[in-house]
This record gives sequence, C-alpha cells and structure tokens, in this order.
Amino acid sequence: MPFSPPQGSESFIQDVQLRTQHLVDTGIWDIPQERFTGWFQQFISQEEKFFGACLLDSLIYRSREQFLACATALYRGALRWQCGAQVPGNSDIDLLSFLKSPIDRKIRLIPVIGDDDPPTKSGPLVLRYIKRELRLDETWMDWPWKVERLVSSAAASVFIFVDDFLGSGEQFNSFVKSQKIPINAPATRWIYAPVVAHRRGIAGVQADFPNIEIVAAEYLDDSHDFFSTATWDGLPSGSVTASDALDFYNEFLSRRGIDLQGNRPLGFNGLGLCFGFSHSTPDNALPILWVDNQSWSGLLKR
Amino acid sequence: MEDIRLAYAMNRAEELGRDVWEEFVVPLFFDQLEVRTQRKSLVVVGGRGCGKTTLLRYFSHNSQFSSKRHDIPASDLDYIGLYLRADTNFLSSLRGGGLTDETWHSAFRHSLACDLGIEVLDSLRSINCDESRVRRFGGLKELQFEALRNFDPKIGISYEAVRSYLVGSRDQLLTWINNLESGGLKPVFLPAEQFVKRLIQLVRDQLPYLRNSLFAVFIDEYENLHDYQQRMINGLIKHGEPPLVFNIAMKRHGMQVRGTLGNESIQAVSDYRQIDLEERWETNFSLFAAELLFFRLIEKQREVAAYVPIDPTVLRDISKVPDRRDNTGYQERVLGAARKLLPRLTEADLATTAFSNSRILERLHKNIQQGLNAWNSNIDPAKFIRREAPDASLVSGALLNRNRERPETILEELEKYILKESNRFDSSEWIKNNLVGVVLQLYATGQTPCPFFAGFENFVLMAHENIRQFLELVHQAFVRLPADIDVGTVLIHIEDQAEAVRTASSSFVREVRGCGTFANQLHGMVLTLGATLKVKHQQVSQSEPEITHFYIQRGDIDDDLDMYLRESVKWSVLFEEPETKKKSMGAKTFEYVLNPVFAGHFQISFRKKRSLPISANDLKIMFTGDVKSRDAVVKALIGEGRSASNLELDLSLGDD
Amino acid sequence: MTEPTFKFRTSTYESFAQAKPHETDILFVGVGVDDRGSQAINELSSTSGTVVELLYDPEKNELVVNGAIQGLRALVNLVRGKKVRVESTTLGLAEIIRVIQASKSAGLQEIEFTYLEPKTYTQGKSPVGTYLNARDFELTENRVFRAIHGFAHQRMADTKECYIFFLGYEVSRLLQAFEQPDLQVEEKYAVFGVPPFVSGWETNALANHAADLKRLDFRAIHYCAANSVREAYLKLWAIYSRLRNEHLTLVISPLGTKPQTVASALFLIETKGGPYPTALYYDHPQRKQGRSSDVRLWHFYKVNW
Repeated sequence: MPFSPPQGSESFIQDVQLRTQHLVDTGIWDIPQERFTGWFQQFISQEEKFFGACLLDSLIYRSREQFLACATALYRGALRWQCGAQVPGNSDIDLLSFLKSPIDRKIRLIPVIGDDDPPTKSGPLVLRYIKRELRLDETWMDWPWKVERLVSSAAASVFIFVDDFLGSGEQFNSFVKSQKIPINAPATRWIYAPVVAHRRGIAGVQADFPNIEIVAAEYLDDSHDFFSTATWDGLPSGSVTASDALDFYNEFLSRRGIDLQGNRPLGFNGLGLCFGFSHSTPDNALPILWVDNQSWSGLLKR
Repeated sequence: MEDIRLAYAMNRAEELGRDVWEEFVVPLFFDQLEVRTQRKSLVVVGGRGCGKTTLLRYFSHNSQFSSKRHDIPASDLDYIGLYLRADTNFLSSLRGGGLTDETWHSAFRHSLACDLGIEVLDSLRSINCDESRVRRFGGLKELQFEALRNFDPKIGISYEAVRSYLVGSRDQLLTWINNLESGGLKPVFLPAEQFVKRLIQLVRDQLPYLRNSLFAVFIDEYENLHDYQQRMINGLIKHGEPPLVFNIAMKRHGMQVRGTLGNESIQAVSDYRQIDLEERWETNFSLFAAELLFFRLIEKQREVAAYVPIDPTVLRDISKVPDRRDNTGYQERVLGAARKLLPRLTEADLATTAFSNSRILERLHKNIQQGLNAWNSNIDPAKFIRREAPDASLVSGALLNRNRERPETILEELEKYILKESNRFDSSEWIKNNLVGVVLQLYATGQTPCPFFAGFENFVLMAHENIRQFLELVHQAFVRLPADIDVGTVLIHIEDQAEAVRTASSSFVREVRGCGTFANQLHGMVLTLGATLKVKHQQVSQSEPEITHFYIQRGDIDDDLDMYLRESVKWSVLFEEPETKKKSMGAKTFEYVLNPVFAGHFQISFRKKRSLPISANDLKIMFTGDVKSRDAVVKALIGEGRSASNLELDLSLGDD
Repeated sequence: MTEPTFKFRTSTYESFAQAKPHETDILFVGVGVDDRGSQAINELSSTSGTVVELLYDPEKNELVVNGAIQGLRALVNLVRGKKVRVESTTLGLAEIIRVIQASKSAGLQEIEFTYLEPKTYTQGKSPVGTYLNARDFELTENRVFRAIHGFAHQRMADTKECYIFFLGYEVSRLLQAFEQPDLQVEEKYAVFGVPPFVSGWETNALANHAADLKRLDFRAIHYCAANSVREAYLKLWAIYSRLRNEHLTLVISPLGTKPQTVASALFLIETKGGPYPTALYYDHPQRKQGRSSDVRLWHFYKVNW
C-alpha cells in the first residue's frame, strides 16, 4: 500500500503541531522554538507533514527537569533495593543518605564513558546532574579507570555505573572491557543504573556480563520502535501500516538526499526510537530527529 | 507606555477584583434595571461571561464607594450593596460528619452571619475610605455595638472589636469543621437574619447618613449551593424587607428547589423579579461591544483617546445612558470606528479573495470537474472559472453537483451574469443563498482559516451577547498586531482576525470540559455535533448550506436527555430558542443553536440559517456514547442529508 | 512540623505470586471497577484476617464502613493494635485519609498501601473514528470539588494561597477546578507523573494540559514519578519547605495518579494543625467501569511515622 494520509489527517497534523507548540511554549519540552519550526517546515507535502506529525506524536522527550525527576526516583527507590543488604536500613532513601554522608560505606558511583565520547557526555554529565540535585558527597564518585584499584585494595564493594541511556548495550559492554572492569572479582557487587534502559540493551549486557545487575527508572521495549505495529496501531493511520511507513521513510530520506552522517536510518542497532533527552539524543533514536547538517535541520540535540 | 496588544487579556470578572468602578462600562439597559429602587428581591440570570459578576460587583459597596470615585451624591448612600460569592467547596462541608441537619443549618446561618456582618462593616469602611470622606461621613470610631452582646457576650463594643469577633468566629467555624472528631470548640452560632438586621439597625441608628439606607445582599453563584442552603436563601428572599433584602445571581436553570426550609415556596413576580441579562443584551449589544472595545483600549493607553469616538467618563456615567442609546449619530460613529478597526469582507470581496488563492481555485476546479463527470458532460471546467465573476464561478461549483440544473444551463446563466443580463444567479438568488456556504466548503479542507470570520459584526454575532466571548475574540486578534503599531491607524488584518477566531474558538471548545458536573458529556456533544455540522458544510453540492442548529425530530426526551439539555443551556453550550418553523406535529417546539463562538473551531457558519433534525436517541448518544457510537451518529446524520443529492459526498483532503 | 518525618519502604513485583505479601489483620478495600481492582481485592483478601470495605460519600460527608455509616472513632477502634493494609487502587482519597487518621489516632506506627499499575488505560492511545478522534474525549463520570472535614478551607478575600495540582490524563479535572470557585491565585504549581507508568504515556497528559497551564499562568511545572508515593510526598515537602515562610495556605489538589493521591493524604495529615496551614481541594472522581485492563505491576508501600 502507498503511504497515504487517512481521512481527517489535516486536523491531526494541525492538532499535533499545536500540541507540540504548547509543549515548547510552556517549556515542558525545552526545545528551542526555531528548532521545532525549522524541523517541521522540512515536511512539505501532505504525506510528509503527516509523517512528521506522527513522529512528533510518538516522541518521548525528557527535558532536564523530567530527566532529574527520573534520576531522583531511581536513586531514592529501585536502585537502593537493588543494592540489597549492602545498604543496611529499612527505608527507600537509605542509599541516598549514605551517598550524602561523609562515612565510607564502600559504595562508589562510576560514570560510564563511551569510547568516543568526551567526558562531558552521558555518564559524567548525569553524575554531575544528580550530584547537584541530590546533594551527594563527591568523595563517593570515581573514574572508571580507578575501579580496578578500588577492588584490589578492597576500598569499595558496591559499584554503581551511572549513565543516562542503555540502548543496545554494545557501548556499555565495550566500556566494561576497555576500562578493564574486574567484573569477576569476589565479594563485589556490580550495578548498572542507566536512567532509561531498553529491554534489548538489558539482554545485551546480561548476555555478556551475567553478574552485572541492571536497574533503571524507565524502560523501553520493542513497542517503542517507531516502525512497530504497536506504534502505527495507536496512530490515526487509517490503512497505513508500519511497513508502508518504513518504505515512505526510506524513500523520503533518499529523495531528499538527507545525509545521515553514516548512521543507519533506524538508528544504532535498528531500535527505531523516537526518544531524546534535552542534553543529548541517544544514537538509537531515528536520525531524522537529530542529524543536523546542510541536508537536514535536526529537532533534537545530538 | 502600556502595550495595547494586551488591552483585552483580562476578560473574566474575577480578574478585575471587587472594585470595578473604573472598569465598568454602564450597559445600555442599565437605567431600566431599577435595582436601586428595588422593592422585591432580584434574581439575576445569565450564562457565564455575560456580565453577572461584574454587574453585582458594580452594585457592591466596594465599587459604589470606591476611593476612585470622587463625588458621591448623598442619595447613593440609600442603597448599599453587599457582595457574597458562594464558595461551593467550603459550603459543601457544612453537612454530614455524624451531626444533625439542624446543627448544619445553624452552622450555615452562622457562616452567613459572619460573612454578611463583615460585609456590612466593610461597607462603612468603603464609605469612609479617605480623610475627606471621614470628614463628610465618619462616625465609625464612635459606634457602639453593645446590643449585639445578646447574641454572644464575647462580642466587643467597638467597630473594630465586632469585626475581629466576626473574623475570629468565622475562623473558629472552620477550625471546628476540621476537628469534628476530636471535639473541636464549636463557635456560638449566630442567627444570620436577626444578627445582621440588628447590626444594620444599630448602624442606621447611630450614623445619620445611613438612616434611610437599604442593605441589599447579592449572592453570586447561587446555583452552587446545596439544596438546604438554597432553601434557606429562598426563605430570606421571601421574607426580605427593608432595610435588608436578598438578591441572587445564577446561571439559567440554577435554582434546583423553589421551597424554603418551611412549607413555603418562592415564585417569580410575587416574591422576586427576574433580570435575564442575555435577554437584556439582545438590544444594543453591538454598540456596547464597540464602546467596550475602545474603552479598554484607552484604559491601556491614554493616547488612543484622541482617535476614538468615545469618552470613558461618559461610558461610566449612568445618567448618560440615554444619550448613548438614543443618539444615532453617535452610534454610527462608534460602530463605524469598530468596523474600521476590525474590517470584514463583503460577500463580493470574499469571493475575490478566495479567487486569488491558487489552492482554493484548484479545489474549485476539482469540484466543477466532479459535477461535470456526474452529468457525463464534457464541457471544459475552465469555462466555469471566470475572473470576471468570482462569485458566480464559485457558486457554479456547487450547482453543478446538484441534480437540478444541467451544466449547459448553468454555463448559460453564468454568461448572462457576466454580460449583466437578467440571470438566475441573481433572480433565483443562487449567489445570495450559496456563496458563503461554498466559500466555507472550499476553505474547510485546507489549513488557512476562512476569511469569512473576520469583521466586527461577525465578532459580535459569534460572541452571542456574551462579553467574555467578545473580549476573547478581540484579545486573540490584538495579540497578532505587530509591536510597533501606530495607534492612530491601527486595524487588524483579515487573515489575522480569521486566525484569531479559530484560536479563541478552540479555547472555548476546550473550556467546555470545565462546565460543571456533566462537563465531559457536554464537551463530547459539542465535538460530535460540531463534526456533523462540519461534514455537512463540506458537501460539495451545498444543497443545504450553513446548517448551524438542530431540533429534536422524533423520540422521547427522557429525564437524562432533558437534564443534559438543561445543563447545555445552563453553561451556554447550546442556546434554546423557540422553533422558527413548525417542522413536525407533537414534537417539542425548541431549536438548539450551538454556541456560535464554537464556529471558528469547526470552521462552520455562525449564522443561524438552516437546522438539522436529530432524533432524541442520536442526541443522547452525542452526550453519552463512546467514540465509536458517536462516530456512527455522525455518519448516520450526514448520510441522511445526502438524500438531497444523488451525487457522492466528497471528503477528499486538501494539500496545503 | 518543619521537615518530612514519614519513612517509606517501596517494593514492586510483576505479580501477586512474586510478591508473596505477608499476612495482615485488616485489609481496607473499595469497590473494584476494573481488572486491577477486582484482582487486587481478590488476591489480597486471602492475606488478611478481615476485609473491610470503605466508601465515602462526598455529598453527605459520610464514611460508610462495611455498609454502615460510621464516624472516625469506630475506625480507630477497628484498627487499634492491628496490622493494617490499605488497597489504594480501589479507594478514593477521602477513605484513604480516614484510614491514616484512624491508624495514627490508634497509635499504630506503620501501615501498608498497595497499588496495582494498569497494563493499558482505555484513555491511552486509541485509534480514531472516521470523524472523531478518541483522544479528544474523556469518558469519566461526574464529579465535583467538595471539601472533606478535617481539611476544609474557606477562600477569603484576604488569604494568600498556593495551589499544587497533581495532574493526570484528564484535563477536565483541572478546568473544573478553575471553574468552580473561579480560582484566581497567583501561586500555582503543576506536578506531572514522570517517569510515567509506561514511557510515552506522559505525552498525552502533558499535551492535554499544556495550553491551559499557560493560559492559567502556572508558576512552574514539576515532575515526580507516577508510581511512587515517596517521590510525590517528598516533592510536596520540597515545595512546602520553600514556601512556608510566605504566610500562605498551601492547598493540595491531587488530580494525578493514586500513589500521588496517597502521598497527598499523608502530607496533609502530617502537616495538619502545624504552624503553616495546609488544605485540600479535591473532586472525588467516580472511577469508571473498565477504565483500564490488566495489571502491569504490584506496588507495596510501607509507611511508618
């Protein structure tokens, strides 16, 4: 079937555009106005506009405030119980109390750093955010390359890897390897705590490192793939199916000559996510959301 | 300098505060209200936004004796308005909790006594709000209220002592309610009527300037009170007499009970006089709207005064009402200036404008082709698109899609029209009856709002005698002005107005969700009815252009439907009007008009032209059905309309 | 009362079998209107000596305990010395408030709440009809803002107030809040549930409200986890701590998720009678039949004070 907008699509487009405008106006989505306008203007025909509106309608976006709320919920809740008896006490906020106090509980926060990432990205950035938001004591934060020594000297026994996003798991796995994390050290607990995690990434990490526990504030799964049946069943797509949409997308990218800068159309590992943070966008998200070059203006910050 | 673009940002009475003296434009029916000489209680009725609260606040002491008012005639002290708003949330707590009804009746009386007592005392303060007033009136410091001690020995003697007693006692009531279980200290309950009457008597006896004063209580949002509370107020209405009378304001159908707590009931005429504000606005609303338009502008920026034909001091002056109302020269000037500020397109201009839009022409071409196909005609569609006659060309697109006139006939008439010979576009009123419908149809499928909505007169029609709706439409238009406008030559472009109407209209549709207990049902009905009318408007043949209201054709109006209709009327979502033409025997003789302020959202006509028959059952589904059954009702309703033409309903999409 | 004193222990499970909840003496339940509700009542009843059904009538301000109108005192006697679990999925705010009040009065140190997260909401993404879009409609039952004894508040010309609204899907609840008393308060904050139950569910809630938050001139928009009593409770405290020197009444309007409603109840009870007044503004919604289907997660919140 060709990709043809269904009955009522013009009001859907208008509606989504207006909703997004309101989200931008109120700062609920802290995306600059001109980025939103500029990005959406690139969809010209009715079909393109409809496709653009569907993207916006499916977009999950975490502003800075929202991201912090997610991180906070994680550190005051699920992460604390993941630590188990290593963190004594009976309250959700025990872990946080320890991380705020000057007493050494042998718990360390370690930022995840990507191979090509500058230290201003992901892990270190998240660590800075939560340190400020939750008023944590800096003493309990360390760089990944120090982990080996912390383990060998028995200076710490619980390691929490701090990150914003777990996508396919490949980056984290290569981080563990390249930083020579002594994952098999006895009496040591390894917890990976990305704020947002994709189920496929969780499986990917656990396949390589079964003794790393993973806990997140938010979970994504295959239903979050923009080109999944689940997504298109939820859109007012009429007879347009997910695969029609995918065909249209690929055709659109090539017809417009959009330079994906070497990225795959569905994002890294084909997760097809419509997802972004205000501080950065994971490469598992659709590049049409974030590539920014001569051929295309991005909506989100890479 | 203040930004005139924001002159209309505040359009709810609550945003203005209690003292509205400076902001109040005296309505043109004001001298006929006879409020200050009232003999009976008044029941002010009107939908939200029609000016009830502003009017009540104008009569209250805060405005009448406002510090902004420079000279107060002594006779104005004969009438002292006390304003009370029913705080539903709080008043609903005066019930249950294991206590008897009698206890709560006393608690409610006490609450009224405190609030009214404080209002009486505050009115004295308003009268004596500055040094010169104190010199002229005064006497508050000397007031003695010893006699109130019969109600509670703890009441102090002086003005301040009584006031702080009442404030404290009101707080104590709240504390008691919040600690019922732990046996909180119950205040000494004051009997509202006796207490306030005694207080007023003491004031009148001691302050010579108030010797003849009537204290008139205005209870706003009466419809929000509990049944027993309404009954108690009804009793006060029935037995009110100088120096203390009770008036209420409410939405239509706001009185749930007519009884009192005794065995009596209250009746219009014998016990109270009803003032229907919307009815009052029906005459001269456009003049008032124009005056208000300029009044607000001057308030925001004094410099504007030089360019506009109104004088704010005249508009604030009750005695000048007849001058405004009866002076046609003045009216023409004011209305003319408003039309200049918010210009509209004549039907001929509307046609020309539509004709200059290439997308509209494309759609017209498509409609014409579709009609020709249906007739199996091979006339070139371009022959019907004639620069010399935009209006007739546009209308041809609809005529060709009907099964009445053959394409050859229409073309012939079009040629005659162009040659200014006698033709049926004029004689059969083809243009007159169809042009607006056709233009709305052609714009409906695109994203550009239809320019038909622009114009002061159209704003007035869409506002439907509702000040808030009018102001919001104007507000949305003004915020679209550039920052550096010249106040002398300001006018708002047609396109901006049309955009403004759509924005304002959409926000009014959204707001229906806040309209009372059945808000979601009312909102659902608006969306469903709106969608039906919208699709009707999109029929290419335009055999029934501008359907904007409906009547109930068959089936019984059961209690639920009756209640939903009453709620719709109460919240001004629908207007109930006597049926213009008798359509069927035995059916209820009302027509229901969708509030025309919603027209911009659906891009449908706001003029009351044609009506649609709807069965009671379908109507009920519009209120309560799930989306699927609502959708089915829309489908059925537009299907029925199709019988007028054998041609297919074209719902294809535009592409801009 | 100047800082939060309640402690939380939150546990989350994918099923009742996985949760294996401990035995309690009394389980308070409401009426189950959907899969979640009936599942919660059925499963949890097996872990409790007594099951007590609560129903609050906001029109009459009465609490109905197992079918009979009862005062708070009866509830206090009922819970004295007992282990109490409150099934919050099926209960409204008023019933929850009364149980907490009774438990505190009876000298209990701890109670436990349960909440079952829905797998899908009928108001989540749903397809459009030919002419109508399902997400434009809200199908909730009728409701009205009514004070609850103990937390009533009278709006007066000279009182300063700050309102905190927890917001969920239904924008009509917020609009209604502003229609009824014509709320004209300077200080108002919105709190949304982020992270949401399921990523992406928040978009509708946010988008539905955005236009109105702007029009109504909200001061700020906050976020806290949709499924956490603790996060909502601490969020309230964070705002309260910042405002308490400004001599205003903090009015809480929990129109969001049930865990946020439970948190509001705890917060109001904790701060009641304290030096900085707090009050409630609530609309007592009637949960709609079949408004959600299936259960995604079982939450257990132990609260002690």
